Amino acid sequence: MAENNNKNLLEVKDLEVSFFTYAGEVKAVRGISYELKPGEVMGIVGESGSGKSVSSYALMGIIPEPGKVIGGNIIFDGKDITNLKEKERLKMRGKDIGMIFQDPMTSLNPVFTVGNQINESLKKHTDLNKEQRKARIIELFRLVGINQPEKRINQYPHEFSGGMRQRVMIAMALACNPKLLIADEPTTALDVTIQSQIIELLKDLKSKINMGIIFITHDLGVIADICDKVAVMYAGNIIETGSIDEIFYEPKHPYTWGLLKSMPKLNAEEHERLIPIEGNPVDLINPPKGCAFAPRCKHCMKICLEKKPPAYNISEGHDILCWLPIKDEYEREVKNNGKSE
Amino acid sequence: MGKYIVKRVGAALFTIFIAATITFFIMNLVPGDPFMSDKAPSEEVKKALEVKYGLDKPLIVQYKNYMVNLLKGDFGVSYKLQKNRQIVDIIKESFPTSAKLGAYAILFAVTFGIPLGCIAALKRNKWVDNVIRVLSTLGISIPGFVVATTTMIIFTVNLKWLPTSGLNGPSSYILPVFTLGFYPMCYIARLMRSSMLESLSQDYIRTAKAKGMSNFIITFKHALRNSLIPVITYLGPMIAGVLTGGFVVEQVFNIPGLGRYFVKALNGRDYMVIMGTTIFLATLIILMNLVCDLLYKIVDPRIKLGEE
Repeated sequence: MAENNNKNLLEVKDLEVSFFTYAGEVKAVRGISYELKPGEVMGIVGESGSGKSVSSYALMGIIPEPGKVIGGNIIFDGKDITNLKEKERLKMRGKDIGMIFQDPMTSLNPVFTVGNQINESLKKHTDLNKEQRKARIIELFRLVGINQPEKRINQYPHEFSGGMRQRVMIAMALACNPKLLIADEPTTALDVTIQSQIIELLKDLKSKINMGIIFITHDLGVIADICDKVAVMYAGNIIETGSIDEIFYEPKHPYTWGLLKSMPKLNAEEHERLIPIEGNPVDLINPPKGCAFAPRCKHCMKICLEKKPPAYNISEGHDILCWLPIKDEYEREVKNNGKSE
Repeated sequence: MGKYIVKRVGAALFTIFIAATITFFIMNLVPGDPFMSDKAPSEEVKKALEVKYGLDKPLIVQYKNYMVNLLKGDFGVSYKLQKNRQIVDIIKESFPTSAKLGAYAILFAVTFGIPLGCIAALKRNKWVDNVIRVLSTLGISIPGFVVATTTMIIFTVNLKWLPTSGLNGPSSYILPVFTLGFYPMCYIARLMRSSMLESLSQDYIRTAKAKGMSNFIITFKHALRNSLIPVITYLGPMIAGVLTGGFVVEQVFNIPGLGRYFVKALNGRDYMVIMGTTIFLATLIILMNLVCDLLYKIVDPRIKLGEE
């Protein structure tokens, strides 16, 4: 059993996703790899279009048309699910992997009661009878903090507030006790107080239920609280990955520096300006030859524009895609060599 | 709900009154009178008839008399087509034929139109979709009399499979029902396709997918119900129109329905018949619209009727 605990719940290896549009192939995810252990929470951070949502849709097998996984492997619970048949996928979705989405206002079907919408998932994936399903839904509503669950399950989504709808979404995702929960920007569309309530709820659930969580967001502040580790994505690559402390206190990639600097601080001086990351996101139809961030990078070197940086290991679990540490290392070596000679 | 319906019925009565008024005066503006025909009666006879039916009085007095009678539930009598017969009886006799034919046509239009629209949306830009789109665009553009005569030539004159006219036995229904239902079917298919496409691109469809729902459930549970509103909107007036008889279809296939009778009445200036059928049609359309509005509420719980 001890071995089992160390087994990865999810392994993503060199995953590549492209959208085949009229304008050309948009390389949305360009070879990302990560691992997730049961009960572990990983944050994926990145700006719009960095591939963070698409990579998670790939896990579910719900990449919108005309997108396709064109390379790499997804191993979930010891099983390769990259090219799973649709029939097999249907059995997995909502049962082994649950997902919550960005906008709770539009993510629930307006013409069915919330109870009905959770019920259909239970009906599909479990053997519970009608009474048991109802009891389970009420139990779920209690779990996610919805008052008067007996009454609320018969209401329609428009009778719920935004925060409450997101709670319904979470209840729906948890209905069949998934091993993995993908939260795709679950707090982006909510206002700040509701945001923190939802984060608190997820934290609470994390301690109650032993499931892996992938938390996708563009807001670093949101994940500090809840994640064990973080992957920073830029232009379809994970450019830095590490523990939450490593990313916040010892970031090594210039893009991560930029992200952290552009975050509003509570103790900021009055009139202190946020520092934006200059420039525009890359064109993913013709991604640059070298490092995708190079054109916007203040530390850009000649090699950055010419060659894709290799993965560089800073410490156990802290990797980056950047030429800078390699340059530093090289310079140190040159210096040391000079001294020794 | 009850209050809302009362309000709507009040508004409906007003609408019918306006429709009756406008029809009355426009009808009288049209040259000619009920008594002109190939064998025109003598001046004296004509005068006597006019006095009998009150047509010798000034128009405004005629209007007043008609409206007062209408309030009493008296629709008047036919002057010409079925002399001195009550309008109510005429409608009672000819409407069931039209309604039966119309009901079949609606059934045909809905049972084929909705699935065709769904299939087209699901197979977007594939050949199935293209075929359905071309077919439905054709159906909307080709006038009813062309459909009627073309199918008649093919199936009765050339192939001799189906009877040409009248309503005797099931096979005689096929062509009129098809002709009557073809346009609404195509229209529904087009409406359904575009509204389905919109529904399928919504976030809740992604949620349903993420729950592991099959394509069948996603399409026919989650998307269909959200796509029905535009179709219901169209169905209301369409049903009223089709039930009261396709004028063209009844004419071409020689079916003794209300539609054919209405056309005859117009040609013959049979004033009371024109008025009666117009009011009947208007009432039916208003009623169907009311039913539609109540249906919206059932299909989409977000819709509120009046000041609920």
